[in-house]
Amino acid sequence: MENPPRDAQEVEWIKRVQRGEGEAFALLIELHERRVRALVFHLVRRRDEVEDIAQEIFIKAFRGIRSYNFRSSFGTWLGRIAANHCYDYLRREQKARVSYYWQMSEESSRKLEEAAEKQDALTAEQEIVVRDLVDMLLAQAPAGDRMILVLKELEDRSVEEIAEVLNLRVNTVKVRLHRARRRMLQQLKKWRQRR
Amino acid sequence: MRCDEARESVEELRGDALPAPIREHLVTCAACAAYAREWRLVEAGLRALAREPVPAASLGFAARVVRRLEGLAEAGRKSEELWERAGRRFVYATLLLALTTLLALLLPSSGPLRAPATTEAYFAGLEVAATANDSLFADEASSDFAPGRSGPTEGSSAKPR
Repeated sequence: MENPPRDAQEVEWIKRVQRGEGEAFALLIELHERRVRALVFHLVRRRDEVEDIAQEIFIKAFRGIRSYNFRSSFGTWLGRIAANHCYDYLRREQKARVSYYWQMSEESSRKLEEAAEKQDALTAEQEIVVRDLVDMLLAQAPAGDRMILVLKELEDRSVEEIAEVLNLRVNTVKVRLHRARRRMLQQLKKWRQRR
Repeated sequence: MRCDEARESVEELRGDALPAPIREHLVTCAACAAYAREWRLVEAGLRALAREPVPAASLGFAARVVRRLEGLAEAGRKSEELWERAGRRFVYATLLLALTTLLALLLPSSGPLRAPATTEAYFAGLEVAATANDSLFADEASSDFAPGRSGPTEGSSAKPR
């Protein structure tokens, strides 16, 4: 979504869609589809839902394209629509499930933590376990926390870009990011105590 | 060194990039050391999630979206037509009602198109009664004061012959 509106070709397509030429929208979809899919997948974590959600996002974008005023990049504008759409989805669909982490022996989980702490390369099994654990932590996190964590940690967006997508101030993003990480760790601690 | 600062640095920087004061703090503060350990675990999971391949773009996705948009536009047009038709009917009905009200106000209260209303008949009755009373008093007045008739004034003014 880093394609700037200055890209003359993209601007032309956007203007054509704004004038009511629906066919030009297909070109915009092709340009941004991959990025939207990635964001949806990272936020929703359900492969079977990605297609439908991405379609709904583009439909929303089409309906609102007249309100796009070229102030931010089209990608950021689209990202905002995608983020809001996924946020609503997450709030509706929050689900819990069992993680592989809890099925590990004490010894294996200690080894995993050591490897993670040293930032060593994890074994394939450790990678699956830790990925599943964090996936579960994200799934249980409040939708707002999940949005900000995914944008930062999985989508690797800058704090400034997150601020633009979520319509927040940069400092607010920093504070919320720290809080979201802290809450995720608190949740992890809670689970461990129950173990 | 405050614990909050140390934890924020742990989140932002990789282990070997941590400044010396933070590393020292982590040695002396067990809570922050545990926080760092847990964060590294979560961070590893986040990295693993980020590496996970995103579902590939499906062939014809853009065409499917455009088709769906056309379907929605068609449905929208139909519903718009429906609303337009309903709106037109509403306008006609309102006009008809207004015309009827106007006619009702402008038509004479009686006549070939309309029988006199009850209240009008009542007031007409009163009018008749009032006219009758007036003529009664008029008779009395004429009997008392009519010229050529004997009355108190005339009688008193009459001279004896």
